[in-house]
Amino acid sequence: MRKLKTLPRIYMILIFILLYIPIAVLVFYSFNSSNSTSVFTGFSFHWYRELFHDAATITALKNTLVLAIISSIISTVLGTIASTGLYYSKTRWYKKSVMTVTNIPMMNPDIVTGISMMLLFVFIGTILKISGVLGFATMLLAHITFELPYVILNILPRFRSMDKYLTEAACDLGCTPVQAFFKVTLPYIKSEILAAFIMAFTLSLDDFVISYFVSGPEFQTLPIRIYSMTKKRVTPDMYALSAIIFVTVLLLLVLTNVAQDEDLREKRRLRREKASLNKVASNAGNALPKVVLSAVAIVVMLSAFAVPAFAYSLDDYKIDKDYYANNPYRGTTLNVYNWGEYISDGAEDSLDVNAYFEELTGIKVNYTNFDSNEDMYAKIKSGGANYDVIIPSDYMIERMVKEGLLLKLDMKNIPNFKYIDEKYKGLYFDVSNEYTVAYNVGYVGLVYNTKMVKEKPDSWSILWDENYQGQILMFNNPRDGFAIAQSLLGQDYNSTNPSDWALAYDKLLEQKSVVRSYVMDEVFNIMESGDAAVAPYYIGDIVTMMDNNEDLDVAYPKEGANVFVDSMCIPTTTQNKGAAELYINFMEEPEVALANAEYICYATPNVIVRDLDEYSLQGDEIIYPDDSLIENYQYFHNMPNDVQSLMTNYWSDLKVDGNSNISTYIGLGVFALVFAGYGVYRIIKKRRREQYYD
Amino acid sequence: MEKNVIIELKNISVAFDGEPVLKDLNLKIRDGEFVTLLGPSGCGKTTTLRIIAGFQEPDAGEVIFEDKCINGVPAHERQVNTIFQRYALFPHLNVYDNVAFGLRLRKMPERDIKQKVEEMLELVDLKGFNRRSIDSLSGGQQQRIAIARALAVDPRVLLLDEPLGALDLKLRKDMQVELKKIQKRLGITFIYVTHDQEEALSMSDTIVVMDKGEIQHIGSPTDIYNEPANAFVADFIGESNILDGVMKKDFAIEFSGHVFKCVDKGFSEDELVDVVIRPEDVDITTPEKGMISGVVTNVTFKGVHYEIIVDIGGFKWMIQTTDYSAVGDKIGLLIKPDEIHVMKKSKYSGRYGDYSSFSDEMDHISDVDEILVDVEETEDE
Repeated sequence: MRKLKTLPRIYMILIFILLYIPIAVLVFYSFNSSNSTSVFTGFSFHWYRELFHDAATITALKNTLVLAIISSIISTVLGTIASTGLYYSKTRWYKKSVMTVTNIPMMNPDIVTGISMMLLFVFIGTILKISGVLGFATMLLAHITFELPYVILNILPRFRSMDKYLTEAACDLGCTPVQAFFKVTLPYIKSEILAAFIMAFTLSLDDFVISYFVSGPEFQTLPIRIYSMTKKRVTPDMYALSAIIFVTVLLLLVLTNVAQDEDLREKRRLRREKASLNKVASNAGNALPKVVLSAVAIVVMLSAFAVPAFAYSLDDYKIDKDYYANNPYRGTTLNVYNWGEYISDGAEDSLDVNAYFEELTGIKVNYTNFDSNEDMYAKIKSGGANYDVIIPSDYMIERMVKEGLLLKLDMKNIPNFKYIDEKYKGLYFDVSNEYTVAYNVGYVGLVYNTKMVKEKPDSWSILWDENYQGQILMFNNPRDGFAIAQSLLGQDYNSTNPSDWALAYDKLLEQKSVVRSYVMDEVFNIMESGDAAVAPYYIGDIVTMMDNNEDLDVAYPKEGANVFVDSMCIPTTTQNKGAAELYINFMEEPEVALANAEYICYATPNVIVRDLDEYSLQGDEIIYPDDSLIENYQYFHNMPNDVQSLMTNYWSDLKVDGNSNISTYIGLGVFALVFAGYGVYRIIKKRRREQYYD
Repeated sequence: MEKNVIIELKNISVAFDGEPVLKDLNLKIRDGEFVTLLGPSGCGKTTTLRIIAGFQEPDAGEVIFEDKCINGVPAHERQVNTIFQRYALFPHLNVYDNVAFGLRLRKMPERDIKQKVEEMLELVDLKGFNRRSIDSLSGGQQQRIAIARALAVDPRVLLLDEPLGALDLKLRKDMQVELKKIQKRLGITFIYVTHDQEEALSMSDTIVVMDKGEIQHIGSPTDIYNEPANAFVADFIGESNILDGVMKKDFAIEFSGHVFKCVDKGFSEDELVDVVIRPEDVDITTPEKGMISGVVTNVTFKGVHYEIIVDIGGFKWMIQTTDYSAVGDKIGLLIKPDEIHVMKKSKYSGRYGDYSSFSDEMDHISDVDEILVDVEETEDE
């Protein structure tokens, strides 16, 4: 008997731990004073303050809530009407086919829904000659579309349990059909409608995939913003935001539960005291407190975020304010598409670059993020969004130039181009300086823990060193991963010779046994907590890691590694080229470039900034390595498709263990056999039973 | 008792998906009458009711209410109200609000509504149930609330669609009495749909027997029972032995190899007819004294009487009698002239009124048992 009692309890505790530990950790780290996720350096509200200074996040949050509320209201109304119609429709095949059609979006992978909607919207945009059709309206439509089946699925079953004569009875007593719907049907399904609304709301709130494809430059939601924080990692102010959302939801739940209890008590009291005459009025009022309560909670949540504070630092640098003030584009809108966390945005008392630009020029900036070159490319290629300034990486620029997706810049309008280091002019992807102005330069380096690695390493070979077995991390993406092996082999990263790639693959395979894991953003936690000895990563991020763990140091391997340049370009989708050039010029103003360089922690190609006394990273040997350290560094070029697929195939071969492959197949086979066996068993059983029927 | 016709159905036809449900139906209902539409399921009785209520438009024909055609008038504008099979009470409203529902729609002042609701609840014997929720009521109480709700709006005609179908036998009997009382007291027209012939006989002023979308017989309960229009009506209302007979001449009919005196006339000579003899109208005697005779094949004790099956020349009769006979006894039957009811041949002739299946059914069931045993035996092998 004891066992029976303790088991469910253990089970309960386990479930609670699994469900709530992650949230508890998140809330805990939202109060961390540093930005590390593995080291708790002290209690502070720092990230909460940051959050309220982060204008982009606040806007995204506001957008998310507005979109969720409007789309869930519309989809609930439409869904209710649809369910009612479906329920009363007489023809069975019609009902069935409509249900199937509505259910498809639910079964459909989000990515397919997202892409097909984007195509549809762009197509319609082309027909109607609307440029930049993607935006709030398309997102709203998309959200309504994917919420609708869930709403119908929530409401329709309730109809099945309804006495089908209920509405007839109402009509019989004198209701018009419309009155009957509002007086009888609606009250009958009201709790399902509320449930459907809440479901639609949450679905809208956390949808990323579909939103990503149908969003435009003017309107981005919180999930998109968080996902695109990959150039650098997710900042801890997101922990703060998540904690706030969690607490709000918790409060909302507690409040509604309390309200429901009060409701019940109120009902009982009314039953005892009030004359039945007044009963109707109170009946109508019953639903009210809950609605009011949730409305108040939402308004409170909204208003808490509604007033973002802009923090400007003092400008000691001469900016020709008149030049920016007297521009002919005042009142227009500029759509900037950049990596997440890749601009100085006002956080931690930095300069809010976009706000400053808006203030000076009177041009409104819609600043949105992407999370990979390829995603950005797809968005531009689709032509559905009017981006004016984009900041892709080198190899992607090469490709876009080839495909004619970029406009030539008018350098007369970008005088600050003169500040760009000659090293970053005339690079392979823009030999005659027609399309790009360099924004940031980064290197891949080696981060190592000085407590574990005694001697400063100077070669990638340490990543193959069996002495560090199980303490070695490796890139979890094919291009960066292969580049390490290729460096060791002395190959060209952009080789089109298959035998080169085969050699590199063998090299990587050789390394596999000593690698602890293949990582991207996880590298921060593992290295900061001292759980691994060495890892290759991007220099700017290594600097962040070093800030959080003193034991870490950086090395530039002698075989070289990847160097990358992200540059500002103007895509052919632009509607405002002049303002775009103004913006690019502005970004290279020493004051602005300084703020960005300080914030992003990558090397700036702006020579003025590098020599400014105010630049805290001036002469930093890590971010600005000596030329001798990087003489073997190479750029990535756009790869031909066949080489690309050769590489990705090798990479997946590497990642998939031959044995585990076989065991997967065996597992699947066993599963299929069991399934088929059960089916046969059922058929035999049924046959045997059928013998008795006659 | 010559009262005005309140509802008239003229040449009503309805088909669902090409399947005719009502065929050229004509019916007059007088004000204040208790009319029952009686018939097996699928006979079109509920459809008739729905046409009167306005939930169903007829494909052809006219619905006339007090000399005015009301085809196309929606349900909520008709002066008729319905009691639904499963009551269709509004689950989100309490008893009071359910009864007040129709009154509120008529914009009656709350004070008057209260008075009316109280009055109605008193009528159905549920005073003080005002604040009870619908879920907390028993089936019988829900039934009464449904009645109160429908009557609260003072309908000219109350339509009842098998209202007692969901109640147990005892409650059903009580409610029959109750309903009849209410109808008498209010003096409004009740149109009652049921498949229960006993219910129809005990409550109605007029019974309309329907089958396959057609009216078979309209008449008072005694008419219908004693003078059924055809074999279907005879069989559906009570038990009947229906035999093929030949009308020799007026007041003389031959069946079962014997010429009986009867009270029927007006048939042509040697016309083939159906003869109905109710089981309780046959007297038993010795084979010698009987007009006809046969062998008892089955005896069932029914409490008040025995139900015996007698084989007379291959046709099996059912006889209800208080005298006991044993299976295998040879007995004679006596039938008085006024117990013989002669009907014209109809499409129903020859399909009802023979009790030969009565014992065969038993045989059939025992056969099934044997088959099952057989199967099980083979399984074991």
